[in-house]
Amino acid sequence: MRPRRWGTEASRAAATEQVLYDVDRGTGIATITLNRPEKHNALSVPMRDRIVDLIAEVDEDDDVRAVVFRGKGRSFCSGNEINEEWGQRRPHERRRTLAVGYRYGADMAWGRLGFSQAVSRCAKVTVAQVHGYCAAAAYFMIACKVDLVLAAEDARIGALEARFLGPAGAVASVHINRILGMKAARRTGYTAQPMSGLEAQRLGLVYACAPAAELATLTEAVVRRVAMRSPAEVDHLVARLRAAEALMNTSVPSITGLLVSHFLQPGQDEADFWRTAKEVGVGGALDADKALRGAADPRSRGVTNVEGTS
Amino acid sequence: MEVSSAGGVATVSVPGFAPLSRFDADFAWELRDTVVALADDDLVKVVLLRATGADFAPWPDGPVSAASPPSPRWRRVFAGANGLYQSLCFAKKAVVTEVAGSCVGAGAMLVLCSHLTVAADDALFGSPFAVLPESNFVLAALTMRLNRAKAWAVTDEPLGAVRAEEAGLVNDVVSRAALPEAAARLAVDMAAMPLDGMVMTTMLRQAVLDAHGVGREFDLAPHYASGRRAVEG
Repeated sequence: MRPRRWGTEASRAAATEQVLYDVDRGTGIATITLNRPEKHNALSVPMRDRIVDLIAEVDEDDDVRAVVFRGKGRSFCSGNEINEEWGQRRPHERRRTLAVGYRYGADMAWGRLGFSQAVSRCAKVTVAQVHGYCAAAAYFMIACKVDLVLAAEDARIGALEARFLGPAGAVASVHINRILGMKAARRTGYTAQPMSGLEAQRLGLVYACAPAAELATLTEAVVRRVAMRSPAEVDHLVARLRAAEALMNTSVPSITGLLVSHFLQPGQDEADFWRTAKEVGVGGALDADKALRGAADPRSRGVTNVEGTS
Repeated sequence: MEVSSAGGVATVSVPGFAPLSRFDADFAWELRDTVVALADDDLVKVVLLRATGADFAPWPDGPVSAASPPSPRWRRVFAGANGLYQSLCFAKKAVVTEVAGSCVGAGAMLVLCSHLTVAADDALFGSPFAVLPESNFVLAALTMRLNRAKAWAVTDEPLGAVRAEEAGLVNDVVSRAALPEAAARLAVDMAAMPLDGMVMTTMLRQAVLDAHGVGREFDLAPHYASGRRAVEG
């Protein structure tokens, strides 16, 4: 028997092109490129499954010393695809069952076999190259899980989905609190305000920033420097970091947003958001939301002023 | 190793702390004993660690000692619960490090284990995690925040004094000329605290550190030593 692969036949087939993989054997750098620009690289279930498979491949490949996550198009990634049919609801069911909800849980929170922990437990140095939106799951399942984040100065990073789903797991997740500090973690979760790349650097999430046009060059320079270290030394170092992260309990994130969206009735804002997201992706829905009175970034109403936003 | 004491501040002066990076067990044990003895002295509230040489802890020139990992002597002196670093980290009194110039390997560990650090503007902090199995990454993550500590380790890029201050590794940065006075002033300010308050605070801090994994990370040092040995072939 083989494990069930979730998703439709079409979405499973598409995932191969939506998540591209490349290894430069000369430098020892692998690249995982999200290639779904029309949806701001929102991650479908088959895309996440493919990334889990690719990380296993990275772990097994002695030539690879570091793996870079990046996205094509306007954004790095706007989070999980929330409008797909991946087999979660049977026709007679009005709601998703807890058993299939566990499939989300396995990916997002507690599952050692899921996506989030595949990223955080990767045996090689992990790097995210972040531009445009880095929202929701992309924020707390990739950017906050990798070892190094390089960001465009004007990137918009954070739990933007909390605007619709309620305070995000960012508030409670140990790793985000350890990365940003508790007050900043709470702000991202309770307000849904994004951080610019520069602000994320000041708070400690981002290692280095560059203008968007220079981000790829910066990333390459940093990753090459890491990959030039002795492979045995890098292996040893990564093993040390993973062990220490386990001691700190930073490998298990907490997530509320998707679970709330799956088990509670949505409010009007949320319904509007999902309708738009179905048409233009989560990133597009975030853009549309900004244009709505009362649904914009609170800072635009003068609540506060954070660099990188108006 | 010279020790002077006045006004609740005991200053431990050595030419430099580099011998710790080549696992000089005699030097380490003398330092450990000195700090423990001072912490037991009711007239002392703050222990100030000072290097009188140009650098706080550069990479050592001499050969690595027989007490290197994973020897039993290393386990006791450097990695053990009663060894140097845990004696500093869990000391009953506050420890202050005064850092100028190069601060790598064991020097960085002294900074991580100490309560407060004052640095000269020429100080340069190198990550200890690739080389020293007894170094404690959890302490770094708690001190600097997780991703900064990871970047420090993974990139192996030393942190200058200003960046170290921004990252939270250092409390104050001053000119080299002003360093001894600035560190001494900080120590004197701390020594103005009531004795019982000082001891109670450091005791409570121990529980917090342990709850966050610092002690368990220390306990993994022999495991990390095996990994490091594999690196060295």
